[in-house]
Amino acid sequence: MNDLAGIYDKIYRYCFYKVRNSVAAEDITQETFLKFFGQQSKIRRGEDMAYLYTIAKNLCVDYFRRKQTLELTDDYPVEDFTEQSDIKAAVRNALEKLDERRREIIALRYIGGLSVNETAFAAGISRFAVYRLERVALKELKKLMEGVL
Amino acid sequence: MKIEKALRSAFTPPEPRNKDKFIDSMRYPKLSYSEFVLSQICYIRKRVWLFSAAVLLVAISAVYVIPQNEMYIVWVASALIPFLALMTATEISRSDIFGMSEIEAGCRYSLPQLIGARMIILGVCNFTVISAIVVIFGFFSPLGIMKAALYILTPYMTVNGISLLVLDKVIGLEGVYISVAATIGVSLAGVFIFGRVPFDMRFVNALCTVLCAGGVIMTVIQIEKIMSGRNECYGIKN
Repeated sequence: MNDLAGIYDKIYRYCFYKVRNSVAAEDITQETFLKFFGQQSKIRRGEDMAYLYTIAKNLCVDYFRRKQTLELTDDYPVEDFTEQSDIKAAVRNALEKLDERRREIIALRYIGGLSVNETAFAAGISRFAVYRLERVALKELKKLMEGVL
Repeated sequence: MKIEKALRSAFTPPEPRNKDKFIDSMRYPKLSYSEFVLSQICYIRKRVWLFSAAVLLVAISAVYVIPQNEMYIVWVASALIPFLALMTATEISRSDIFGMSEIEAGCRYSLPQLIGARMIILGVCNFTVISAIVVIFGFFSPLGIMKAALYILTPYMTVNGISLLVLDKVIGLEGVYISVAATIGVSLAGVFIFGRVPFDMRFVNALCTVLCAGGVIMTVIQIEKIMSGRNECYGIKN
């Protein structure tokens, strides 16, 4: 089922961003699906997608609680120090400097690939708040990355 | 590089190791064919539904408004029904008209499956509208069910056959223009035959029977051709 594979990739990408470990991210992704299908019969667009992300987010929090550390692993693929790699590293560093709420909105929108509606549902805020936080976060990121992009 | 693009590319994780295995082994309810067909309803343009409803309303009001002259009632139906057929034919061929067939074929469902679903939905919709008109005309006018069915199905099937043939042969908006011209021609011919010009009704009945049968045959051939051609093109077994 192509749809499911696509959703799997998005959730995995989001979990990897959260836990920075591919094995743990994949475990959490699979657990997310198992929990989801334990309660819902099928994935529809809209709120169900946001619900998947909410489960994934909570499982990532559980993962850190169990691990009791936020230490990053070196699970990213080895990259050469090309300009592109520098940009990627700069983007990751800049994102880490945002406050948690803005960072989460950016993660859901651009790493998770959620729509504004889905992001609003997953973050438990209004669409307007998503627009506002996203705009402010992007502006801040641009400022942090001046001279890099 | 824009910040949005940079954000999307900066967090590319390693390939997941067990994705395919997990998805294959996971038990989840799959979409049934009827659910798939129903899901396609929202992708049919609103104008199709509006026009179908308008045709039905005009036909119902014609029975009450137009004096009890059977040919005047058929005249109204003959003028409108071809456009219902045109709407259906253009909706079925929409992917070709807008050059989207390759993209749709590469998506989750194959193009023949999508066209099949659209045909089912539009077929049910048109069947409902036409049946309602036939029943209304059959009961409330002196025509009778059989004659009403013949006079209403003839322009519908003729335009269906011609439009599907044209849209299969001529790609793009040109095909739509030719189909519209053919539809207007059939509509005017209906108006001419069933309007004020007195014709020998035996000749009209024979002509309608031949045209209706021809339209049915042409429609069936075209649908079969479109579906089998596409199936072959996209590697789907019949």
